[in-house]
This record gives sequence, C-alpha cells and structure tokens, in this order.
Amino acid sequence: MSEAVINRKKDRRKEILKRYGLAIGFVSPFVLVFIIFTVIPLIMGFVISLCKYNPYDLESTTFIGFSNYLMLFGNNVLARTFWQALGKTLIFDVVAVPCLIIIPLGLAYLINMKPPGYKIFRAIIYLPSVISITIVGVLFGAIFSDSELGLINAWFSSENPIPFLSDPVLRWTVILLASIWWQTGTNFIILSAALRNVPKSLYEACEMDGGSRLELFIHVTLPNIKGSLGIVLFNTLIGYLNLYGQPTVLNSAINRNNIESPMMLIQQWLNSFERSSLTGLISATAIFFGLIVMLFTFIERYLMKDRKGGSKYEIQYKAYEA
Amino acid sequence: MKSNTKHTKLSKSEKQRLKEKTISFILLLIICIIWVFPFLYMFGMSLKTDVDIGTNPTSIFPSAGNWTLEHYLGFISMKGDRIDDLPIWMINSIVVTFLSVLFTLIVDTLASYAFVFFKFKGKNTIFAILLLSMTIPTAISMTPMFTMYASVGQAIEGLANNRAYVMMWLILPGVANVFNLYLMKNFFDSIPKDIVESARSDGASDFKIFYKIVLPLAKSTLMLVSLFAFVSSWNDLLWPQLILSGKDSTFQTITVALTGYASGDSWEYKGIAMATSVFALIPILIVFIITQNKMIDGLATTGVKR
Repeated sequence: MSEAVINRKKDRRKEILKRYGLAIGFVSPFVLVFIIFTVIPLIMGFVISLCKYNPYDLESTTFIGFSNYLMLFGNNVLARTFWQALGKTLIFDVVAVPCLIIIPLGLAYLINMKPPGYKIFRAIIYLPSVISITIVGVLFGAIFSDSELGLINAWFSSENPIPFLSDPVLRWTVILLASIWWQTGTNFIILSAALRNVPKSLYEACEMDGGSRLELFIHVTLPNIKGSLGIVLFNTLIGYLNLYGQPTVLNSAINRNNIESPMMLIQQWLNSFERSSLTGLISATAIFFGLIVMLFTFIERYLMKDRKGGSKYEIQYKAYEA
Repeated sequence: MKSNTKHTKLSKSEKQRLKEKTISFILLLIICIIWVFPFLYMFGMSLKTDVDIGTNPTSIFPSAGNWTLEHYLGFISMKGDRIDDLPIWMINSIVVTFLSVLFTLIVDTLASYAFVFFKFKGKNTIFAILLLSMTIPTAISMTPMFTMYASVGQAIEGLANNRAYVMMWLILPGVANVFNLYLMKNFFDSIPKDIVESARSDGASDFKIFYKIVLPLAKSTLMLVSLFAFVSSWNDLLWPQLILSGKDSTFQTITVALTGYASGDSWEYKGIAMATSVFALIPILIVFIITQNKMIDGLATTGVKR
C-alpha cells in the first residue's frame, strides 16, 4: 500500500472521529436535560414509591417494599380520597370528552362550508385555546358567581341567586361549559383541516349512489377523518384524565379545598409540608394513577387502530378506479 | 332529456350550497358572539368603578359616568393595598417564558440536526426511546421531579429561596421536548442531504452549516415550535404552582398569581381581578393576532400528520 492511501485512510478516520464528537456535542444538551428531568425522576420515582421517604429528612428513608401500593387498596384517608377523586374525574370525562369531540366536529363541519368571513370565525373559535385556565377561572367565576352580582344571576335570578359554584352538580356543569369554551378550539382546528382533506371525488361517488347527507357523513366523512379523530380523542382523553386546572380555579368558599381529581390530590398532598413524610405514598399513588392513564391510552389506540379494508364506499370507489 | 335533468340538478345543488352557506353563516355568527362575550365582559368589568360593579351587575359595560382606569392605574404605583406585585409577576412570567422558548429552540434544534445529519451508532434506538417516553404520563414524572427540587433545595443552604434555582426548575423541565424534536426532525428530513454534504466537502463546519443553511430553511417550523412553547409556558399552572408554593409572592408568575382572584366569591376585588386578567392576556393576544394564521396552519398540519 502506498503512503498516500494510508494517509488518506488516516484522514478519513480522523474525519469520522471528529464528526462523531460533533454529533455528541449537538445531542448532548438535549440528552442531558432529558436524563436529568425525565430519566432520573422516573427511576427515582419508582425507588421512592417503595420507601418511606421524606425529602426534608433524607436520613429517615426506609425501604418498605410494595406496601405503599397496598395502601391504595386499604381503608384509609388516601385510598378513599383517591378512588373518590378518580370516580368523579371519570364521570366528568364520560360527559366532557364526547362533548369536546362532537362540538368541535360540528363547528368544523360548519366552517368547511366556507361561509363568508369563515377565517374570522375560525380565529375567534380558536382564540380561547391560547389563554390560561386562570383567566378562564376569573371569567367564568364572575359570570356564574353564586352572588347576586354574578352576571347570570343578575340577569335571571337576582332575587334568590342560584348557587352555581356551590352546588356540586351545577359546579360540574359550569366546569363543563368552561372546558368547552376553553378547549374546543384546538380540536376544531385539527378536525376542520382533516375535513378539508377528504377527497371530493369520494363524496361525488356516494352522491351518485343516491346517498343521503347522513349516509355521506357516516360512510365517507368519518372513515376519512379517522386518523385525526384518533389524535383528537387521544389528546382530549389524556388531558381530561389529568384534569386539574378547571376544578382548581372554579370554586366557591365551601368547596375551595375539595379534591376533585387524582391530579389535584397529588398536587395538594405534595404541596403540603405536613404531609412531606408521606412522599413515598404519594409517589406510589402517582405511579399507579399514571399506569391507569396509560391503560386508557392503550385501549384508545387499540380501538382506533386501522383495520384492513376501509369503508364500503372507499372499497367500491377504489375498485371502480382500478 | 338527459342533459336537461343534469342542468336542473346542477342549479339545484348550487341552490343547496347557497342555503348551506347561509345556515352555517348564521350558526357560526351566533356561536362567535357567545365565544367573544366573556372577553367583552372581562374588558367591560375592568373599566367599571367598584361602586358600579356592585350596583350595575346586569350590564357588561360601565354605566354613564362610571368609566374608570383606576384598576389599571393601581399597577403603576408600586405601593398599594394588594396589587403592588403585579409588575413583578409580569416580569417573572416574561423572563420564564422568554428563556423557555430560547432554550427549547437551542436544545431541540441542535439535537434534531444531529439526528438527521450525523451518522452515529444507536441513533435510531435513541430516537425510538425518546418517542416512547412521550407516553409517560405527567403524574409519574412530576412527583419525583418535585421531590428532587425539594431535596436539593433543602440540602444546600439558601438554595430553596434562591431566585435562579427556582427559575431553573420552572424553565428546564419543559426544554427537552420530544414532540418539538419530532416536529423539527420531520422538517430537517425534508431538506436534501446533498446540500449539507456539498457544504461539508467545501470545508464548511457543521456549526456553520447549522446556522447558515439549515436554520434559515427551517424558519417556519422554528416559528411554530416557539409559538407552542410560548403559549404553553405562559399558561402553565400545575408545575409552577407546585414549585412556587410556600415561596414569596414576588416569585410568582402571573398565571399562578391569578388563581388568587379566580374564585367566584371575592367581589370586592373583581375590578382588579379583571384588569389583572387583561394584563395576563395582552402578551398572548399580541402573539395570537400577529401569528394566528401560522399557528392555525401549523396546528392543522401537525395534528393531521401525526
């Protein structure tokens, strides 16, 4: 082998090594932050959940195995609060999640008819999605206030004000209304883009067959927006299992400290200094709750998975094209 | 005969379309009026005098002679009864949000550049693990993160009330965002590799290629990522509430501080609450008005593709 070839090989090796170093340099900030704020907490969380642990008194740490998890199935304050909060959240979600799919879908359907000024309508419907839940709390708290000064009470029932935020059922209704106003926008935008992407020729094919409007919607629209519908459902489901902001800000004096969702429970117990000796238990609760959330998302993913085939009209249309 | 029926059918469907447009216009108009209403109410209430809030609850705007800016002017004077911290809350929010966006951009673009334009062992495995980590629920990572924050703060003297330490914990956990990484990687993948290769063989360093060629091409994706980072950082409640609990009120961000006004009860502070909300809304509103088309398009495409 000549010297030149060896030199070239050496150069190439040097080059590769240099590039390798650069690659590590480029990825390392991300990986470092990821390890510190995701990987380590993940491991630590699991270890803590197996211990009696107090972040302000590390020497008292003792390993106690899975008994923190067993506490969740026992008869104690934490277990009772947790299951009650989970129940409330799930009941709310059964109503709220369909509302937050169907209403945005309906609005997307209307926008897709492209009436004059539809871009302005679109921006207005989307706007509440970018504001913070605390602003939503201030607004809906004033509009639906228990007091006779609240807007709805002042308009309709100033003589004997309706306790919108104290009565449990009414309060959850206000939370639902606030949620719809606040979060319709995001799903609405995604779904209207999906509707826009449905091929027109499919509609025409179905119309030729004499399909009615409803049939058109079921056989053409729905199968074609299934992907986006899956994403929207996935995001909404996770968001509402993790319900936190709405019940935190929409309250009155008598239910200010109520725990209405698992996230509120975890947040409030972590936050209270007196309960810091229970950190292991809270950690176990958080992991257990996290697993429930994951279970729901896996079920959702499984149900929305693309089956082979497609809708009746799609198959016919494809056969016709071929 | 055949062409005749076709002709009437066409005009019929045109008529139908016009009818549809009219109906959807009317429905959307009604909905948008309802949608805008809370904003109008907020703005109107913030301009009412305290007396007017008590005596004139049925109208959303102040009655004649009761228009006032007192709830806004109260913020300018640093000493007042309750609200004197508002300028500090705003500054806190602005600093935290600005740094969050900046770090997100730097960290995430650098990493996605490496994932696309460098070859290294285990690249695909690492990326797959990162994608998988997106399914970890917030609850699981939040608890130990708070524990770390509390333990370290406790262990080192004076750290618990150190502004930089608290800010770091507000900013950094959101910086390594896998979804942003995924968005940017998707875009970088669409850049022809030849461009980068030829620049490399011309002797340009990767750093130069990164900020002279790749970043300018990715402008709109960067814009989108910063918009999402901006909105989510400004509006974040759960994590900052945890981090800032028990801290001095001057540590708070505007979103966290507003929870104190959110309750339906305290009517003596409603004017101030509304004016504070208007302040909290202004930065978001400015960004929204300037970039709403980009935001909506970005959301639509990322949502549909994913």
